[in-house]
Amino acid sequence: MTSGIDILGILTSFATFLGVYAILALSLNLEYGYAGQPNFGKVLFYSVGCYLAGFISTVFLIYLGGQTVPGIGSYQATVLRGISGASQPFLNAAGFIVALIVGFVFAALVGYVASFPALKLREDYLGMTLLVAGEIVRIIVRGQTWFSGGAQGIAGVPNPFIWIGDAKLRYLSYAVLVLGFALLTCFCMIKLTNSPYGRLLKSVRDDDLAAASFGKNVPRIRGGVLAIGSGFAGVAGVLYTYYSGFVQADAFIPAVTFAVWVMVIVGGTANMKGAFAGAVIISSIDTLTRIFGIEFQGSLPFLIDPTYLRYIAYAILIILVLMYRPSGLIPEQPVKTPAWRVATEEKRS
Amino acid sequence: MTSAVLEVKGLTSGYGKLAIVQNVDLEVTKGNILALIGPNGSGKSTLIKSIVGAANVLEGKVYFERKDVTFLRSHEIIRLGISYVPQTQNVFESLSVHDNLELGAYTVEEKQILEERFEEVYQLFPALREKRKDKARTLSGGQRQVLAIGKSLMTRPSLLLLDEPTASVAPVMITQIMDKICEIQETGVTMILVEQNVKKALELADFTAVMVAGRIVFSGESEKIGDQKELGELFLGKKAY
Amino acid sequence: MDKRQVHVGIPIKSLLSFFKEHNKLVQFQVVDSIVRSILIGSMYTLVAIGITQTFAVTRIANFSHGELVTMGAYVAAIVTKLVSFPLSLPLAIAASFAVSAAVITSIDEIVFKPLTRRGATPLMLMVASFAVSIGLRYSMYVAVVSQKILTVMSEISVQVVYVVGDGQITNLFLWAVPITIVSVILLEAIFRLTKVGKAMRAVAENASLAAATGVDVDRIRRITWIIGGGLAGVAGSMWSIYTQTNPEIGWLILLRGFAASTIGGLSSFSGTILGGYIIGFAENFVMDLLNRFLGINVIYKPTITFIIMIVLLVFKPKGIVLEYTNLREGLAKLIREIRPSNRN
Repeated sequence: MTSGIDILGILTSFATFLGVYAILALSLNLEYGYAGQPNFGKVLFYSVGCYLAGFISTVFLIYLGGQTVPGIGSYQATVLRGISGASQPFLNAAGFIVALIVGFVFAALVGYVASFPALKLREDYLGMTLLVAGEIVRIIVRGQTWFSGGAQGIAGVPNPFIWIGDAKLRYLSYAVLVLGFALLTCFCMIKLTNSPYGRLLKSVRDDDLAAASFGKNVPRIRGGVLAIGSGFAGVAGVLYTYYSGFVQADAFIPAVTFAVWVMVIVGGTANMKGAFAGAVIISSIDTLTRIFGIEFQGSLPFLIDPTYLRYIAYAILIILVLMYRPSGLIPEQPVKTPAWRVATEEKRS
Repeated sequence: MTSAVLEVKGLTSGYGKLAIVQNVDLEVTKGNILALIGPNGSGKSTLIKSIVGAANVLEGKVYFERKDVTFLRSHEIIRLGISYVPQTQNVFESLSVHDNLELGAYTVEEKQILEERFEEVYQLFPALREKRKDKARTLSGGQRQVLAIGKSLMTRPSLLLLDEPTASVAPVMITQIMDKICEIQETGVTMILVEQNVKKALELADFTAVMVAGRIVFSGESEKIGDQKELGELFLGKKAY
Repeated sequence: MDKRQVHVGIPIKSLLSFFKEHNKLVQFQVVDSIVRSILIGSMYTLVAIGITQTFAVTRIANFSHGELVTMGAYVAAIVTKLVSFPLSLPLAIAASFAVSAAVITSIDEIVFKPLTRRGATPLMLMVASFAVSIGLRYSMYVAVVSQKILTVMSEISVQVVYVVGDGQITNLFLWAVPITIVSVILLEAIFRLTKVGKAMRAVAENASLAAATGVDVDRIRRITWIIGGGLAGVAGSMWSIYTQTNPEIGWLILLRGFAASTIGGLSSFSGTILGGYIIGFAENFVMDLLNRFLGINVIYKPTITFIIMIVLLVFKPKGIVLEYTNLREGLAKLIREIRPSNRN
């Protein structure tokens, strides 16, 4: 047992997870809550960001300098990344920024492609398709050791703030950065959804046949939404990878997609506050189970991975919500376009 | 002393929280046919469904042979002696004619009685016997209707609810089916017949109820409905008894 | 070599190079491959039958079906540790059947039925079944880790009984395959000849009509879950004899089962059986061929299945639907559909 509980450390990690989860929840909220696209392959787009973070950081820190390593996941590569990142903070930061941009773009592209099967499938069939697609890609990428580091994965992706000597301050700064990105994502989403585009998305969600008969290009709209949502998921992946330092194919399992769904359903679909609320709940459970793992592990005769408890909690939570409050904690609200504002103000006066 | 087979009192029902049937009172006496007529969407089918437990009862009661069946589940109501033939999709297409009938008698336990019932239905509808091994989806609209009615008779119900039995049937077969309905009545079965075709309904039925916008606006002997003009006013809501 | 051939050849070759990493060329043993395909196909079939049947009757794409297999495997392993062979075999199978059937029926009463009553959409039910799957899996993790049996195998050793060419028929083969065949025949008999079986088909086709016909739909639902869950448990017990069990196997087996079920359009019984063996052959026989002649690593085995599944879901969601009781008619229709008209 540790002598005291590191509150700052806990809060910092909570904040970082919250930021990453919030971006994921907001992206799924856009796709499913607003546009009715059940993205069951969320982890796939997230993983694109993660892999790119690992790869691009290696490009910047190792390949660009002309050095070679026996493999992107090798021990040598890990060490080299760390050393290079620490001694060349600007290069590392540049890599980070490039990874964010490329991550968004590439993940968005993958998202757009993934929208093609959405053209004519019923919602649960579509869900299954995306889920399976995610697994296919995971298996294939896992075999591409030059990109993903194979079964081992890539380790030692350096934190962009690695030049800050004090570890606590470093992680705190990063947490602030991540939260900043989450707020930026939220802002983008609000602008997107409280607009005629947002109304358009909801119309496609509620009755795509009617929308099509009004001349809206439904497949392209769906593709666009999935692209945007996936782009943000990719960004979340980059942010997380630069925090944890690891990328490993086996982490990108459907359970992760499930966690994002829990956030969106528990928090409430089709609204930003709901997505944030869901992210807060999930990160809280995440952090609490982590604390449990560290503090109480010694007192048990066997090793329980906190992951187990976390997911059991998610499962029970989402089932309870589906049964007793299916609209979530914060239910959907009307689209606040300028026209709507004018109309409601007129009604009030 | 009424020999009322079915009594509906103050029934308000529909789907979910939506009420379609509004405060309906209805009675059917033993051995009679009650025709339920009215414009499209007036709630006739919903009223029938409420009796067999296929719609959501919000208020009121349904009594069958003095028993309160308002909230019983469908298969329990069937077991008590009511049979229901829906308007569409009233046979199992992937099953044979024989299997459809066998399912109709799902609640019948004894093999002996089951054989008897098969005989009764095949006698009433000889065409079914010929096609008994064929899948129901190979039957024409009229033949399916016949099968649906035959299936509903396998339990020898005391009350039979028919929702527009001649709706998707070729004109040639309509008369045949109407005749069969008379034959069934002669065996003592009480019936409620939902019909769009007012003339035919009035021909067959002893009593008629007119339903408009979820309410009963006329209920009584068929002859008393009067001439066409009055009926038109009833349908369009100008006159209510 | 004309231009078209070149244009197709180069992209395919470069695509294939994606899959060649660490390839291990093995000797291609025909009979061994076929035997393995049939064995694994049988297990997939048992799982897929449950998926199809429960989907047909309850309209729920049950993602927790895989965990029932895992549960069956663990139960069988535990039974074989406590009881000695030969009694352990039938006991393990029976116990696996019972436990899995009991678990899924309870889950239906607690989760699926109430949700359906409250008007949950198919997607919500799928999400719920996913939640159940996660809940069951991680609960199993806790249970087996605490008992120190995270990875186990049944205490029934696999022995070679016959040798046929380069293949070996094991005792497991002689149990698993007949069990599957008998189950299939029994179920088909139940569906075609018994009142309950016909009622199940009726509920699958039109539940509200079935209710209006006097069928106790809840009871039929329960029977369906028992059969589906039980068969999954039995598949699990066979699996525990075949290889090591751990809480993750359920998910991968589930996806194979779904793929097999999709071949039957998630509705056709005979289509599902065909599907199970198609997947078994795709992952073993075809994979061995690809490995031997194109150098593709066997770890990509699930990819074949998943691609089949996606292609079917997107292009032919009704599956290769075989008429429910007339296999010959269904095959004829299938052949007509695949082979374009020769009339022009």
